[in-house]
Amino acid sequence: MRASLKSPWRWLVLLAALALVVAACAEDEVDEPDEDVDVEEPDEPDEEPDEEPDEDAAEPGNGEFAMYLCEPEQLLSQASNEVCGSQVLEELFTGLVAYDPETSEIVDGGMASSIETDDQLTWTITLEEGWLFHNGEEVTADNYVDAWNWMADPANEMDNAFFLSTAGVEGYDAVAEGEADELSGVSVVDDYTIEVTLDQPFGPFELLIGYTGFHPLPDEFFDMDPADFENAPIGNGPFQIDGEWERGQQIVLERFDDYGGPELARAERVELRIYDDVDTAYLDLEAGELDIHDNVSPPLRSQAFETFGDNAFDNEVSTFEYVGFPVFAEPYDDPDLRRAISMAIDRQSIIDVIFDGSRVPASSVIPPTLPAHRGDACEFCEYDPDAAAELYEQTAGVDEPLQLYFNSGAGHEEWMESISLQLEENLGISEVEFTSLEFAEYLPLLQEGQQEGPFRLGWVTVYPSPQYSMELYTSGSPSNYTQWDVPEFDELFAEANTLLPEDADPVYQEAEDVLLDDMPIAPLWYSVDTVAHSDRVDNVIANTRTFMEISKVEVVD
Amino acid sequence: MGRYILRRLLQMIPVLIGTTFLIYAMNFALPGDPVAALGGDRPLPQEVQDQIRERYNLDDPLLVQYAKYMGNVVQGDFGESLSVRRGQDVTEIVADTWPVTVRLALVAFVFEIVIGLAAGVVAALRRGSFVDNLVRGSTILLVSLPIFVTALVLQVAVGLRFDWIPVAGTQQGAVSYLLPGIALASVSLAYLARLTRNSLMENLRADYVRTATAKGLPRSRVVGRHALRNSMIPVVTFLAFDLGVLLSGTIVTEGIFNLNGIGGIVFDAIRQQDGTVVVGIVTMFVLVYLVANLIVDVLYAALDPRIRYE
Repeated sequence: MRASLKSPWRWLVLLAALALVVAACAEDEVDEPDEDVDVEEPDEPDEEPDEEPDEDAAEPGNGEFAMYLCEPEQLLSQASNEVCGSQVLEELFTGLVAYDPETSEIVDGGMASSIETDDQLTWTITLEEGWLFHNGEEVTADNYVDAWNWMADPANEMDNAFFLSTAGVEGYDAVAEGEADELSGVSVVDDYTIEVTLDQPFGPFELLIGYTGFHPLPDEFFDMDPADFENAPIGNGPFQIDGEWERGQQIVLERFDDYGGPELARAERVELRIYDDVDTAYLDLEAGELDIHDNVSPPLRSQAFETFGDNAFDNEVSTFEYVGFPVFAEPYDDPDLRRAISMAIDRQSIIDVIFDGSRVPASSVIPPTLPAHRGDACEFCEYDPDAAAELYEQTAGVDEPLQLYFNSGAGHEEWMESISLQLEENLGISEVEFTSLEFAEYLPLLQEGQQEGPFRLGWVTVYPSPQYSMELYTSGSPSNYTQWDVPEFDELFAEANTLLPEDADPVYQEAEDVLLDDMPIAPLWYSVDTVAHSDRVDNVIANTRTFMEISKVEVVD
Repeated sequence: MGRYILRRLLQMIPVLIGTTFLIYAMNFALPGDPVAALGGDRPLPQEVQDQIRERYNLDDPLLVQYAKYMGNVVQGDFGESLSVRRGQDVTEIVADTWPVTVRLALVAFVFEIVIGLAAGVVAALRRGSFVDNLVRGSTILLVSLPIFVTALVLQVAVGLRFDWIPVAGTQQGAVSYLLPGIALASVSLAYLARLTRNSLMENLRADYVRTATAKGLPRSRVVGRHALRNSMIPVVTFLAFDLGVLLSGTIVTEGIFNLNGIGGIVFDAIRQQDGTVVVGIVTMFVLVYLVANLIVDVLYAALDPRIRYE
């Protein structure tokens, strides 16, 4: 018996050994995460204990804390078009202008000492001297211009090249089509001066160039593989990366002591812990593993306010959600039908019931985070079921079943259903069909104009100008999925674009009035981010662009 | 036996080619355009989209795309992710995430075998006793609880209470795998216990066991040497299959415990139509299953001397 057993067992052992060797090889390639990271490092005694209490706030403190982060897609400013990566890049880099965290207006703190123009066509940007990259290189005009040229080259597949065309930087089209290597409209005057010429006057330019995509790149970048750079980006911001981006796990930031900005980061070290699930992060916040969570999910919002008291707050952001109408097709070409549908939607009740209060009803398309916002811009966004029914009676009505479209897997099912129920109750539309598709299928459908009814979309105003909030409604914009085309709006919008922000806002508002009267879209709501933090940290500020101002956070214990 | 194993290993090559093609074709057949979705609500500049489509051969017909892909694979290049981790090599993604999944799978597997087998054997030997009823009752409960419930209960009841057991993440090393390992093992463990119990009970009633007892062999030898070994055939089949499942990653457990494993990557890749990632990783899963199956077949021969391979 023993002899007959021997052979298969021997082979088994061999196979198992082989499998182990293969597994071991696979494991070798990955470095174990640091297991001895000590979050509770004892504070070093202050060198000058409280002699000048007034200046205390501005002085860099000690200590470290851990913050929630969602997984970045990319860590390259020129490519990043989502909040997770941009949150990190905003700390690793400092752009030409800085924005006020509450009002979105330009404030001190950017790298530009002046931005001048006479005609909004030619812009002269002067840089402050003495700023350094984390590797010790000085930041000069070349670092900006080279970065923009590199971004413009389609071979590099940079998402934010889009903004060079938005601004109409002279020569962008030629680079995009491969006819030129460099942007003819951008030139280096001297080490600290950049001159930019645009195709046509563009007033929001100075607001635009504070956007993530316009960050500088160090000379070292151009000698390396961008993928390697992404693992440990070298920036000019208040924090430098410590080690590498541990994908799916964490990014560790360390204060950059040679930072050129007005104020050093107040904490020495920040661990940005990457979570897949915001609710898991919330559990960690409760367990004391995490100090700041800036994306508490709506169902946990009231619990967070109860548990964390003054350490929890809401941050209104520009994230905007709307329902677009296919105005190119009957019956949605009738503005009255669009107005009736918009008035039949009770936004506040959906917000209360489904979003646990974590939205703000929208009655504008210029978001509340901008100075140009007006809370009463939209007449037909008010819930008025009687007026809606009356107006709906006068129209041809929708062909039932009403078709509603949204992208799947993103939590839109519930509220789209609520809207359909409200339309049934208020307008008598009883038959509704939902089409929900993955984004990769959804967008092409909208691009091809195959939608036969209202469709859900969103928009984030990534740099604080009404120009960006409304560009998607202009005829010919690649994001204009309603195909709305009203010359009056286009003209007002184009006129406002030529003006400097202070003069432009009233004109943008006029354009907004045209839009909200004709209603190619029904504005729904703006998002609110719920932030909660532990007692260990203070001065936790969220800005209007959805980012936490990490460099201002103080560790108090 | 050596020749048998070699033959089985060689057979894997056509199977792998066939599966890669099937997966590739299925991904190709999905409606929609992954490049269009890359920019979110704001589409990428047309020139950038064109460049990406060209680099990933997305404009080619299926067979051309597949041939180009396999050509690169033969040279060891499994391609780059299109959207999930844009620009990262698939091999790097695997090296990054699979070890986490493997560790989790092994922890779960150990729990499953130790607890599941022991509970099953004890229940079978003490049929109808309190222990047997306890095992049967608790396993029914475990099987009917969805994993996310077990996971959340563990997080709140254990993780939040004990400082040294992390609620989520892998920052604290080996102990991080404790709760997710238990959660993940819970369902298979219960199933394994029931399977072992039934299989062993059946064998305990078999003629050869009565013969062995009649020959005067001690009970430990009758059970351990004769009944148990023969009862292991369905158990081993289940275990091998289950190991394959565990090694392919688990979306729910990885998500709830914030483990950066391969399950979440595959899920995202399928949703975002990231073809290179889906094909590369799923092919690897197929390979895992094939090897697990081979091991089971060899184990059969080891467990049951009547089974021979030439």
